[in-house]
Amino acid sequence: MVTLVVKLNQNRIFKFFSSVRLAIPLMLIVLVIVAYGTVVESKYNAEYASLVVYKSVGFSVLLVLLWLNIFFATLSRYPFKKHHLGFVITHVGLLTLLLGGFVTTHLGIDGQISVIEGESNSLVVLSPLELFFQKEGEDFPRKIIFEKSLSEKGSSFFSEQNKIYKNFFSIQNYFPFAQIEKLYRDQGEKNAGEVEFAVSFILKSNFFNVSEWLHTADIPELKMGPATLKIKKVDDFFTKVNKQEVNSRISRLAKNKGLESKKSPSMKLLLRDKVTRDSQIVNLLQLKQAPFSYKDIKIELVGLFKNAIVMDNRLVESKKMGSNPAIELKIHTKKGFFREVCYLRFKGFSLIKEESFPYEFEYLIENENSEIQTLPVGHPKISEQESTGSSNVVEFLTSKNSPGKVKIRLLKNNELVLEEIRQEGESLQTPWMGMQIFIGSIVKNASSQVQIHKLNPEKRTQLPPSALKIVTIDNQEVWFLEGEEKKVDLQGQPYLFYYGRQSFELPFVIRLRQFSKIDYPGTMTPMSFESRVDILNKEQKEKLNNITISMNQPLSIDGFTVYQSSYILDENKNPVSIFSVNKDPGRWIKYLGSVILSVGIIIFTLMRSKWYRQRNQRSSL
Amino acid sequence: MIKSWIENKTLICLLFAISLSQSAEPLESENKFLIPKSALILEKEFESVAKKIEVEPIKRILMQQNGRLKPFDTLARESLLFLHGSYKIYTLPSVASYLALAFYEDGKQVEVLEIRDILLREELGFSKSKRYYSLEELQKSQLQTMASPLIKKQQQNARALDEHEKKILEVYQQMTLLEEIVTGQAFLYHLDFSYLKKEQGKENLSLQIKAKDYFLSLNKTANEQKILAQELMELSEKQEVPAIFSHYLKKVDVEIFYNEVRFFLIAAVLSIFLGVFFFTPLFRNKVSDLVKGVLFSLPLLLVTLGLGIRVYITEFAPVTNMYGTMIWVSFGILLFTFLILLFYKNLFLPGTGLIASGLLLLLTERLPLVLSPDLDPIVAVLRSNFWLSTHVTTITISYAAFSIAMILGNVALVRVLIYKDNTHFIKEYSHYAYRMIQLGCFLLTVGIILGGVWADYSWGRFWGWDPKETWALIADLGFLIILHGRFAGWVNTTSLLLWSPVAYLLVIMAWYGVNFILAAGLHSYGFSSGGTLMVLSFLGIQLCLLLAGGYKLWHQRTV
Repeated sequence: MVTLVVKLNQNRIFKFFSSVRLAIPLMLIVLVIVAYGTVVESKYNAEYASLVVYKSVGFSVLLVLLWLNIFFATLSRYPFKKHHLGFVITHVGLLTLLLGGFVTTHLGIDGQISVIEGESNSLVVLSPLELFFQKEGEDFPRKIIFEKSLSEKGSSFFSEQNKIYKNFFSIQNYFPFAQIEKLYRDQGEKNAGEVEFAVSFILKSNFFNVSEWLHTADIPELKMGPATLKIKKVDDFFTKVNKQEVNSRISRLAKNKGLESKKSPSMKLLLRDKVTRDSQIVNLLQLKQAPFSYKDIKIELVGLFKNAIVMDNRLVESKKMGSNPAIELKIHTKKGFFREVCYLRFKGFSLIKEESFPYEFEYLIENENSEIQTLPVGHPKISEQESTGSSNVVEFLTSKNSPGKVKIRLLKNNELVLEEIRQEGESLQTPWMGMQIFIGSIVKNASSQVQIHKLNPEKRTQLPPSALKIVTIDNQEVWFLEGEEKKVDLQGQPYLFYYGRQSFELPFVIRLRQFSKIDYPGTMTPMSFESRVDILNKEQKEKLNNITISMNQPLSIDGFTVYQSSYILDENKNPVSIFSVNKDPGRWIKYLGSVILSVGIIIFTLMRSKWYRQRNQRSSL
Repeated sequence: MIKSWIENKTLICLLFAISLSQSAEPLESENKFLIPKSALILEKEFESVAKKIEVEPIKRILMQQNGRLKPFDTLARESLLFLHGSYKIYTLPSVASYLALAFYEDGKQVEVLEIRDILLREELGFSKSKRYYSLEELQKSQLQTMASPLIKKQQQNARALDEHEKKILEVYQQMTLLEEIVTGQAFLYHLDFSYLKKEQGKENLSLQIKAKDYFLSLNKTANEQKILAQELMELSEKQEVPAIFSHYLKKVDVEIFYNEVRFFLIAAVLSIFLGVFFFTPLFRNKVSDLVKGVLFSLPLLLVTLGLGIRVYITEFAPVTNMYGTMIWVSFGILLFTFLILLFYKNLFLPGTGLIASGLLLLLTERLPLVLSPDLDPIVAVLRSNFWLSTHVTTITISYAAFSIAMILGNVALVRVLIYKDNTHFIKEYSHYAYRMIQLGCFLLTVGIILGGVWADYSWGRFWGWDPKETWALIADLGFLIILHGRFAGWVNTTSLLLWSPVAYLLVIMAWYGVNFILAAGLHSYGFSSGGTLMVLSFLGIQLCLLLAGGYKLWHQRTV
């Protein structure tokens, strides 16, 4: 050993690798690079910085070089003498510490697991990416795993995997940061049937700026905050939409009962004896001309309303949009006369207070060739469309007869606020919070297309997801965005695909009983985050019951350590607690290294001190 | 929080406001609506109102704010500091100013709110040279319109706010605070512990009514004020206190003592004077070693006492923000140079150490707006006393050792510029600098390792290249390079002294820069802003000195 080291020490390459003249430049380079890393982190975020610097190949090479340098430098002191003690211990400690770090990075497991309150989970999300696929209905998953990288990759990078799975698909492209845009293009009149339209628009205000598509068949409606956006097809912009709307609603009501209205409906009044249940129907057109006598009363039609509202205790026709058909009657009895109102959609309504009055009235729309249809008595069932009453609705009307144009209608509480026609590239200023609607494109015969855009990470935000393209054996191109799950047919067989972070199944299950964020009293400053969990084994039997995991209080189990890492608190949802989970075989190596290093520095410092030197001199004298 | 409370409690406030306005003396009420009072008259009236207020009986009363209980004295100081930029308005004590703002009928018009940014004054339509503004002036200005979109932005993503926007929001917060003080709501809110409970609407009515009675007595005789203050105190003491707050109950007097004595300020002045003494021949030759040691220990004792009280009140190590670490580093410099005085009988280093730590303490005390001296509780992740008091203290005290090396380097640089022959000085003090760097590296390395163990224990990883830990490593590496360079023979005695201020720039980055400039990473609890100008000027002076000294040395060598 001694001779070997002596020999080595004469070797010029060994000398160079063990010298402090290499150590200083290496330390300087590490210093500059990691400093750059922190600047990157400040500008972007931690994940990006680690991809650019700390996880890069170059940086690993640098650290290995530094390790070898320290190792050779220590070796070159062999055989160790007394005055080497501090030096050797310090550097051995450092080597152990770095080795521990290396073991952790390459053999350890480090991931995150999120558990919803009241639920359980055992899947830890790790940092590498995976493409997972399996035939639907089978339990034979196959996985392709690779590290996330910052550079674009072509099929050559995946050649090995492509060889293995050549009977299924081949991976063509990997984009580190991408956005998949679904857009609509005019595909010409392929199908003789329906003509579908798509409109792209941008909603802009001081608070937001979003761009979206609406498609008459695929995405007829979108909810964005308090507003609902809809696209509709109409025959013509210039017919009175008002009338059409009312008619379409009436016919829809009829449809609900399974009846097709072929002829225009006629309005009728139904009179019924409360006791005997016998009834009589009067046509309103007749009633309009002359009062009608029924048993001991006489009925007079005072008003007929398409959209009735109550104003100053009287029923009047509303000029605003909407539909509330009603009739007002004057009922003459022997004792005098009184008013009665019948609504088409509110059957139970009556102005008559006396229980003893023997008759009831109903306003109905009857189809000529059918039996009388009365809607169920009681609380009026209002269709969903009508129940979104208190919200803002933006409607885009498209028409075959006006290509390249769209009619924008703004409705508040079902009442028309604004109605304008716009072309591509034009905009509409709404009276709502300064919101503007820009029309991007209006596409006739629209069918969807997927377009992939490469992105650059933006400053101080989360990184955009990566994307992967495969070409199946049937020559079909499929794009996956990180986190996406898709069904893809391979030679007529349905397969389930998932592309995203690699997951790892823990040997136990974490069930979250409760997550609590405890604030300092009277403030919003958190004092602690705590998760109360149960640990179950795979057979769903409890191993540990009601354990608290909190900041500075992790849980060790089965060689794994579970830490409280983060949380999601959303008012409308159950709290989610996010734990970091790791299994670190390098931990004890690092701790050992730390102790050796600390002891080494103390000895080192003492041996260089005046006191030690004087003592040494004295003893040598 | 106060906002939501106001909505529910409009009635009480209304009653309160009415009674207040009735109670105010009808000073020239005839003319009041005709001629607006001049700023000078307002100031005089305000002063006379404040001077009538008896501070002593009320300053001990406990208030709840920012997650702890504090004496009214502290609350008033902190509020005035934020509002006015200092603890006093026209030399009036903070408690008196605080109460007078609410009690004085024209409190809305008193010019007390400091707009610190000159450009912002102009933007709000004010004069550049005017520093203080009244609530009324701000309410009439564009501030509300400017601030409201920013509040939304802040709620969505606080990181997206730029410096200018933060300044607007700061003035807006000052205005809100002033509004709450002037209307008396702030006093009532902080007084009543029932707002500590999550559920709303259970305010302590009897306490609030008593507080109103007390308010009405503020223009009466000292005795009347005292009686009502006493009654209010008694009612306040009957309040239910959350268990984690109960330890504050017995600390009121200590905290008031701490507020009034200003240990660090006294220590700062004492250190600087003493440091100058250490350089006078008379002191050097005539005073015995024992007296020197005793004199030196005085500022050290004061700083220790101040830190001790902070620990006693807060129950955690005093190194949780920039203010705390700066005091701790001053303590470290004093401690290390004291040891040098004891063991090496050297007088130059202790003298320099005294002046340096005195200046650092003075700087810390003079910038309360940037370096918050409050004793409010810490964020969740720091709540581990063992690690906080080992890891953070070890790391920051290493900065003290590096600071001494840096100061020695700078002294050498100045000497190079002034004197021709410095060989003796360089030979002697290069060694001290070397030892200090060694000590610093030892402490910093141990501190980093302790941090790794804590991170491993609480976050699940030993090392994660987080900016704060990375910069601690960078600073360590910087000084280790000097030590290795000394070993390799690349760094001689002279250049060791030159390099230590250079490497110290890395310490400044690790200490100040990560929190105030980079503001990224997991150590987010320390992030703050301000003081950039001061650090940049330090950097500028340091670089000039290095260039000038380096040039002269290079010139001497070539000649």
